[in-house]
Amino acid sequence: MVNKVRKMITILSAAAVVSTIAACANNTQTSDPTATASAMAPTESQSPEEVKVDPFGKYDPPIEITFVGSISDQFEKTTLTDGVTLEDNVWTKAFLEELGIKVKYKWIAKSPEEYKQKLNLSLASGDIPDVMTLDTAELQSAIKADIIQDVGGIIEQYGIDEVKQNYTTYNFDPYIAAKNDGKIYAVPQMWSVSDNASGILWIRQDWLEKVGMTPPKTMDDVYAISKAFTHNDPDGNNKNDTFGLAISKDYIQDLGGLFYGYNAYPGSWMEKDGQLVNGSILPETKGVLENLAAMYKDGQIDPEFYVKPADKIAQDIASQKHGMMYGFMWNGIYPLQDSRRDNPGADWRPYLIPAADGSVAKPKADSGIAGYYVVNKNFKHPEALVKMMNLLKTLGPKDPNKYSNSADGKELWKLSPVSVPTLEENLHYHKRMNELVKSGETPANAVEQSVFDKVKQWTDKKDETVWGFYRMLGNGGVGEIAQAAIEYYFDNDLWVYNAYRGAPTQTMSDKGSTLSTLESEAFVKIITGQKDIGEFDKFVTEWKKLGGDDITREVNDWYANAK
Amino acid sequence: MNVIKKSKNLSLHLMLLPAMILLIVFSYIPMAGIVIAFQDFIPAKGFLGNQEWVGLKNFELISTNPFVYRVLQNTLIIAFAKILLGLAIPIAFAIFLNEIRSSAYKRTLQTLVYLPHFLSWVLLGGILIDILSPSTGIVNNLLKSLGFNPIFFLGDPKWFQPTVIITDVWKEFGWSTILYLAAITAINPSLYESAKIDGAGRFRQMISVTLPGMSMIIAMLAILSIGNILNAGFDQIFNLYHAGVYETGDIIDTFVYRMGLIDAKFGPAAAVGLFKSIVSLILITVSYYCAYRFADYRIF
Repeated sequence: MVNKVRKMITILSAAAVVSTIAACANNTQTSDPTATASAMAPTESQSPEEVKVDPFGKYDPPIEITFVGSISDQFEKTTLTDGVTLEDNVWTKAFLEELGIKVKYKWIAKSPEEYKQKLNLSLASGDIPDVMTLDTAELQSAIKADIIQDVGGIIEQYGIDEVKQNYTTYNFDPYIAAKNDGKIYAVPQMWSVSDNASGILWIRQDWLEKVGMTPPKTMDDVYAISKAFTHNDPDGNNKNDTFGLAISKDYIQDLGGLFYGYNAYPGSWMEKDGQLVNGSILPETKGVLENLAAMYKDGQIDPEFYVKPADKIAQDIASQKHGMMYGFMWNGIYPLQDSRRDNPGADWRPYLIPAADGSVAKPKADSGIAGYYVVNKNFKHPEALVKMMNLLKTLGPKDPNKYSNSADGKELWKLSPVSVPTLEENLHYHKRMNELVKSGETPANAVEQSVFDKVKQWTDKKDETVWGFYRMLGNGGVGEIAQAAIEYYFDNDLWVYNAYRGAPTQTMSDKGSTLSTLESEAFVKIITGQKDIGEFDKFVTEWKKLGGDDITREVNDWYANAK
Repeated sequence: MNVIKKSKNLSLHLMLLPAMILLIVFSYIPMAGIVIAFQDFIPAKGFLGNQEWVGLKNFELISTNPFVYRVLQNTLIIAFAKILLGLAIPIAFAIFLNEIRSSAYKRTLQTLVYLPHFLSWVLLGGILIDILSPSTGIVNNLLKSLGFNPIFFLGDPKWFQPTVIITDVWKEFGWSTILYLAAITAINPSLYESAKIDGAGRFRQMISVTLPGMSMIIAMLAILSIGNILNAGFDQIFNLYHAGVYETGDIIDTFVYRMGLIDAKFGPAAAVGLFKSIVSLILITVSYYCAYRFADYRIF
């Protein structure tokens, strides 16, 4: 839990640098509201007079929309100053002036925990706002409780192109979890799929050189490097104190990339011959566990790994015990940046994940959905939500300093109760950095300028504090910049998605914890050699018997319906 | 006379009022939530909403879980050992501390042993992983220098229970010591004087004056702690355990926590809470009765 939160904080701080909604500045497609409106067929429109829609149509007299909000201390200190409040700021003024929408809050929580509590209370008491954000399980229970309305097609009907394209960027149906009885009960809040995907193999270049090896092309290369990093004293201190591969007690999460190299996706639902199967029980996963057991036996993995949470492993990385890890595109910022504090020679480089057959692995992408906007059953103007999105996407890029992120660090985009992120923003900036360096032109806007300045701070001045940032999205190719690897996965359409996108099924919520207990116990015993690999088959039999078969059936029923 | 007494009592009762209100609002009214243990509770429908009643399904879900006996056993062993040592060690320590003449030394010692009480398990968890590490930890370095094999205290299922019990007692015994020291200072000094006159030595005084003088507070704390027989310490175990020691380290609370992670399962969580409360109530009642019968201890 703590590690997850820590990771999220890291991602968010990384994203904050890059700003979140200002980034569509380079989306040069101009939006002609009337053209957009006439170009699309009005689907599922409820009243005939709505056939001709105006994405920016102003309500007269103004309408009121209630939301619920959450603010942090940081946000309060930087942005809610000089009389600015969530209900009275540049965005609420814009919504009122341009769209005739008055933004009100039912309540504002001061922490994520408080938000969760108040949301549960709101749901429990039935006193819900007009629009709010829910997770998949909350969405399901809100649909069951019949408190939200059908919002199918409103993005397509009212959205401008910049908003609509968020829902077609990836090749999966973003609405799949919001469907029930042929209706669509939510507008998904989209999110980049690569930010939290384990798609990078980080390796210390200085250690590679020390042991006389080159970056890996195949899985055998990875094992050879791991062996050399363990036994050939890569840090040159004449002590046997280094390990081949860094993993913590959350090894499944840490090792994502290693599993993907064998087309193994433990914990995810994958389609095989038209049926969904759980990756945990497949032979591919068994093979990886066998390899890990061999590495553990050879001392290539910290013998105490299964006791150590991720932050402990981060400390070990900082104290130069590890030279290779599977991870995320932002790992340069944390924890790898820490390993340069004591040793600026720790030259971590991001590589593509090799696959067992010598090609590039297919990494598993994040869900791509941050939450679901739902609209109160009794609210008369669901399309107002989309109109607000339209305005966000128009005003934000036009004047980022006023609406997105001010020069003095105000997070203005958070003043709006709705947000429309720019998907794969980090990748966008990486591409722009390459273009800028190549063409020699100047950055197009303030945000781009600040990213460019930071990258330059490393390339020109070797400023250690921005090393991790540079490795994440600076200028360069695969093996230098993490986003270059992400770009490769997109260009070659390699991302794999969890095929199950519904809420937890009945058996999942009844038996899921039993199955995951069974799994983590069996896996850790196999890796550490307390049980031989035969234990895996026993685990699979138990897993199926104790509810796994039921879950598989439920998941496939859902899949048949959703397809 | 009577009027004065009444008004005196009235002000005392008024002083009791805030505590009573807190008790009613936060302990008695929430008891209504027990109904959740018998429902398939959906938060969105509301507490008073049209929830589906499922009878004992939530209890069944827990009792038919293949891990429930292992979990119950671990909880009982860990909690019982913690209660026993958590009573014995502070009592012994308080008595010995009381015998120390130098008050500066006594106070320093007292402060030092109760300091760990203020550290959170999140913090201590990280520290323990370091100092108990078989390769680099200070404890195992000591063992190695004495010629023993290193022990993986937190990784070996055999050692996990003793490790959590001892570290918990280490963290908390200084805190309980304070209560016993307070009880000792309340003992009438004239008892010691007459004991001395009767020729009792220091050790005899400890056994025959100090210990009986503490018996009331010991009985009370023992009775209260027996109610905790199903609380093996979530914070501690959660920060120290891992899949490798589930077989000896997984307790009811961590088990239910993992259950809740998959889905917000209010029903089974409430069922477990109710089960724990009933067991605690029975044990406290029985032990209170025993204390009354055999030690003539009573609160009212």
